[in-house]
Amino acid sequence: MAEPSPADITGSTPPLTGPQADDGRLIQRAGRGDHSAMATLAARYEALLLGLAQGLMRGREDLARDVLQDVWIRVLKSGSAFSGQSSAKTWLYRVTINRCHDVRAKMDRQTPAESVRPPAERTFDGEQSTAVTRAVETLKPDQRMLVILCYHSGMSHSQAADILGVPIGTIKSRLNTALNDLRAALSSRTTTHQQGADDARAARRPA
Amino acid sequence: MHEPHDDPLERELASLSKYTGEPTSIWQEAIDKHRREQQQKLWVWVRRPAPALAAAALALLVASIAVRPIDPAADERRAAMKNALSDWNAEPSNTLAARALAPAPTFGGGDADRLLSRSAATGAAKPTDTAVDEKLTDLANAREHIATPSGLIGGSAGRGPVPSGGAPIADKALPAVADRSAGNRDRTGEPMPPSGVTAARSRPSGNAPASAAPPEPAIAAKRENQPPPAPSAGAAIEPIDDAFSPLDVTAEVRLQVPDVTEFYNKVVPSLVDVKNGETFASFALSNAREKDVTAGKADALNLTLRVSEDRLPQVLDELRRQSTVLSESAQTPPQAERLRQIDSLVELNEMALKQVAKEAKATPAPTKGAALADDAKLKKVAENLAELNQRRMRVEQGNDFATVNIVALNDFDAAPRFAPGAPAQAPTTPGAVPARGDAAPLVMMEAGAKDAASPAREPAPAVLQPAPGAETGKITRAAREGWSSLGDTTADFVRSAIGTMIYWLPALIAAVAALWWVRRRATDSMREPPPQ
Repeated sequence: MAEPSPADITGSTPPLTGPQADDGRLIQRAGRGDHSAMATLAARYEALLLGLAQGLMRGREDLARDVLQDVWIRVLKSGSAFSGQSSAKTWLYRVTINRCHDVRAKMDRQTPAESVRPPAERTFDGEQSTAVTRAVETLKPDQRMLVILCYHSGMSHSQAADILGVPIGTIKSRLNTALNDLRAALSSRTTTHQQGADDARAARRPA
Repeated sequence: MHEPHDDPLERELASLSKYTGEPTSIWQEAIDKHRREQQQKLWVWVRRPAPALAAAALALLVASIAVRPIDPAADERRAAMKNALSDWNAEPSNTLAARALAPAPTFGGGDADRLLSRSAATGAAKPTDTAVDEKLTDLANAREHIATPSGLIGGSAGRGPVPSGGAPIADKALPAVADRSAGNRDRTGEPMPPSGVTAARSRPSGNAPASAAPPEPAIAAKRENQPPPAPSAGAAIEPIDDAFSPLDVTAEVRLQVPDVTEFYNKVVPSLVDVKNGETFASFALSNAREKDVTAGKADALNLTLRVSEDRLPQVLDELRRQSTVLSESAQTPPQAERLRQIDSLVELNEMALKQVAKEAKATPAPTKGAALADDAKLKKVAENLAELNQRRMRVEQGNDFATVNIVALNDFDAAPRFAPGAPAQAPTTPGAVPARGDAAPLVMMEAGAKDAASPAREPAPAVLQPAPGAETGKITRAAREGWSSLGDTTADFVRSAIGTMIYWLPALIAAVAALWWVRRRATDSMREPPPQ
């Protein structure tokens, strides 16, 4: 199915007041079965939502794809009821976060031991990324979600507050606490790693 | 905005949620999946394993629906069971406290045993053939005990002849009741023929009741031509009061009085002998003022009395003395016809009794509910038979209750007749035309003249305005009755809730299971914010 350009989609619609209203109208049309509107939405948000889902799913792209597929199905099912009173981007992000939360909860119920341990096949490479990833995994679930969401592409604190449904001051204070915890976890890991390296050098040194 | 991030840690965190892979087309996969789901929606729904409770409730529902065409008599048994429960509720021994505290009459375990033990204590039938036979014997003995020497209740074959001396009651007791209103209607709703045709006579001079006023030939012939209801095995057992009302001796009187309210307050109470069981069946006092809106006089009074037949002439005389009679009419069904009707009804009830016994014997092992239903039927038949015998005795002795329908109209031009302390008015001389302001004359209403004369004086249903002193008592009584009704309603609700637990509990379980199932299916969408 060839993806139509946004101009083809919006050509028959009345003038829009802004990009958010445009997205909302696209969601409505997608919910009514307009696949071209769905294509436009995907062109705008698929990569962003997939990245967010991947971050929330500990880097597992297969799960992130499943989550995103479910998100689009939600759009197809209930998008026609979208009234546009809130931001379409907020709605899409919130659907994605909730779906990620459900998938992770389901995984925790099925294999709790495995779900706690990060999977071996990770997309985050490099020593520093692995350290940061492991440090993020040590955070509480809500702190982890907050950190990933707030540092998502182009996400402001106010948008994160809208998505999570909490005041912006709460977002800032929680984010500050999460970053402090994260830095503490990273420093302890660095200290442990440095101490281990020193011990190894001392062991290799000839007496 | 956090981009660009100066802190290396923030850069690393931003990279965690940044997709760097190949361009995707997940939305197309979503569309395909959604289309497949739409096509297989019903099949997917059927394939999903339903919770056990929901499946059980669904099976119960299907079974309850399927039992209707399989067993058409189930509805009848259910209705009979409902009637049995209603009868049980109607028993005086079931006081409010007892009804509220007693376990509900469900049909499982101890409750059914308790009900059966109660039935046994009150002489009700047990669900065995022997018990039914015993019940029939008891009923027959009771009827023979009540029955008259004429041998009425022993069955139609052994029933003695109707007393030949059973002359119409009007021959013995009724005064001359003239049909002066061609607009009057008999109890069957058909207009009565004119006076000349019906051979009704004008009231003779004086107030002495005329003797041997025969029943109107038209009505008598009509009743003679009416065959008694044919007994049928499937006849329903109806309350006998309604069936008997056309057989009552009935008098209809139209009056004119100076003040209807005064008439109601001062004259009407003396008409009824409450100690002997006479009653006020109904009344309506209209306050729609016709001429004087400030006088407070009522326009009309509709009153129905139930008085003894032997006192009917006395009542009518009193009415003639205290008012101006505009018209009178009476119906006196022949005593033989009344007795024949009673016999027919007795026969109907006996047929019903035999039918119940036959059904009970045909069922070798009746359920407890069916036994209760049979018990209720037998009880109703017994009550009907007892009432019929009492009515028959009263008819034979000529002291059955007669119905007196009184319509009193206000004569605003007349002088006050019921002034405080004033003596009772002298009897009105029929046919005399008194002067204006005197006692109202006896108005001879010709055919068709009644409606044209006083169309606006037709009594309209209205509410009697109570005396000011009675207002407090009325409010107190209403409050007490309200509280009593509330208590009864609460007790009935509790009893019904417990008694119908067998029905609503599975429904509640099914509803909860279905809700749980739906919520579980829709967990994802419910957790999402609703589209705004």
